[in-house]
Amino acid sequence: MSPTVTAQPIADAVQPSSADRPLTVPELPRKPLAEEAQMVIPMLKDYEEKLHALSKEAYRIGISYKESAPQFDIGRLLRRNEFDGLKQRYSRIRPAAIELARVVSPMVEHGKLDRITLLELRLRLTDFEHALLTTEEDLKRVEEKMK
Amino acid sequence: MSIIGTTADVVRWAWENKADVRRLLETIHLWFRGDGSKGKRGILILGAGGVGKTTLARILAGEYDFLRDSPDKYDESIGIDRYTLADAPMVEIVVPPGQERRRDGTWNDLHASITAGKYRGIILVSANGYHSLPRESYKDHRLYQDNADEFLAAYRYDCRNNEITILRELAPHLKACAGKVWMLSLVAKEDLWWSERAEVNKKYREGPYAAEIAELRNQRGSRDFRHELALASLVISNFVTGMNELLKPNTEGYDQTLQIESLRRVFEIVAALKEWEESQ
Repeated sequence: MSPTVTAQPIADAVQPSSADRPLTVPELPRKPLAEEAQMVIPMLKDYEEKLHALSKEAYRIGISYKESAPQFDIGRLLRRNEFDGLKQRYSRIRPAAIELARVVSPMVEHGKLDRITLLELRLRLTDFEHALLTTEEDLKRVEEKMK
Repeated sequence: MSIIGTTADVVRWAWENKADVRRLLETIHLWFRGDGSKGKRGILILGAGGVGKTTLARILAGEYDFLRDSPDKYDESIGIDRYTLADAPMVEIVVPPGQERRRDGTWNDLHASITAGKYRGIILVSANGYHSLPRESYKDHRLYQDNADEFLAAYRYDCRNNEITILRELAPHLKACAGKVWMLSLVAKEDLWWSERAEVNKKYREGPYAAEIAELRNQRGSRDFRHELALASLVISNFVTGMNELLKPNTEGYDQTLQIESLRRVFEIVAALKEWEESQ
């Protein structure tokens, strides 16, 4: 079998080097770790609450949908529309929320921080990740019930 | 064949042998799918954070092309990832997150599933202490004093202890597992420790890791439990932090011929596990 691909990907594949690879996105400026830790704590709290609110709203819509008269009812269409909007909102929040978790996680795992800040970060991140994962499940669950 | 040659030789060799390795992988996929009569059981991939579990799952699921895909920047998995074969969605490769605080929330149920005999095999991935460091500078790490080399030594020591801890947490569930089960210990990132491979091989075959495995084997017996060790490189990459700081370059001379050979060995070992599973 002979190679059939262009030279560049193969050359990259033969001797890849993460250090030499051009970064597609330049590194953004960073603040000292302790300062970043203090900045992310309210963010985690804020978005954990937002995610919980999304879940609650999804269930409210789901219940309201079930209580509406079946097929061709305008109420059901409206609920469906509301739910789609909620799903879209979650889809837009999700990438940045995952990024936030991935930024905070190494602080918790490895960061040179004082023990109280570490503890608070750990608790906040656990709550935040839980909210992130359960909101996704809640949306799926409600959508299933609306079928 | 000799791996010494020009870049073009290496490229040709890699592309030709990739096809062989892919054929081996297809055999493994056939096995994963099963014959439908014995019930489908998944594969569980465990290991600390940053050892290569997700990459392995993607390779096994046929999603990752080790010649075309370049090593991505390491991103942690937050929840349990499940991979399926494209044409067999019932065959699951399950990868939970590896960070200690995430293990508390996700591994208990998986450990219970092991005990219940839900998985046909467990792949425990380690990396001889080279656990990827995401999104941070090593200078912000709590083990850093004032020297990068000393940091790396301390970090690897810490990571290797973590690898043993995970094995010790897993062992009781494998001991109690209903039915036969196999375990593959995969030591990844061979490209980073290739120059010390004899020592690494010895460490995993004779050290505390091996002692845990021996105890498991004694308790389960060879009829119900089979363990294999494989050393491999899933991707070739320097050991850099999430801030792109170089902590250890990959071993000079470790190229894709060696990587493909290492994957071939892994797949051959998996094929041997298939023989064992089907033999009784």
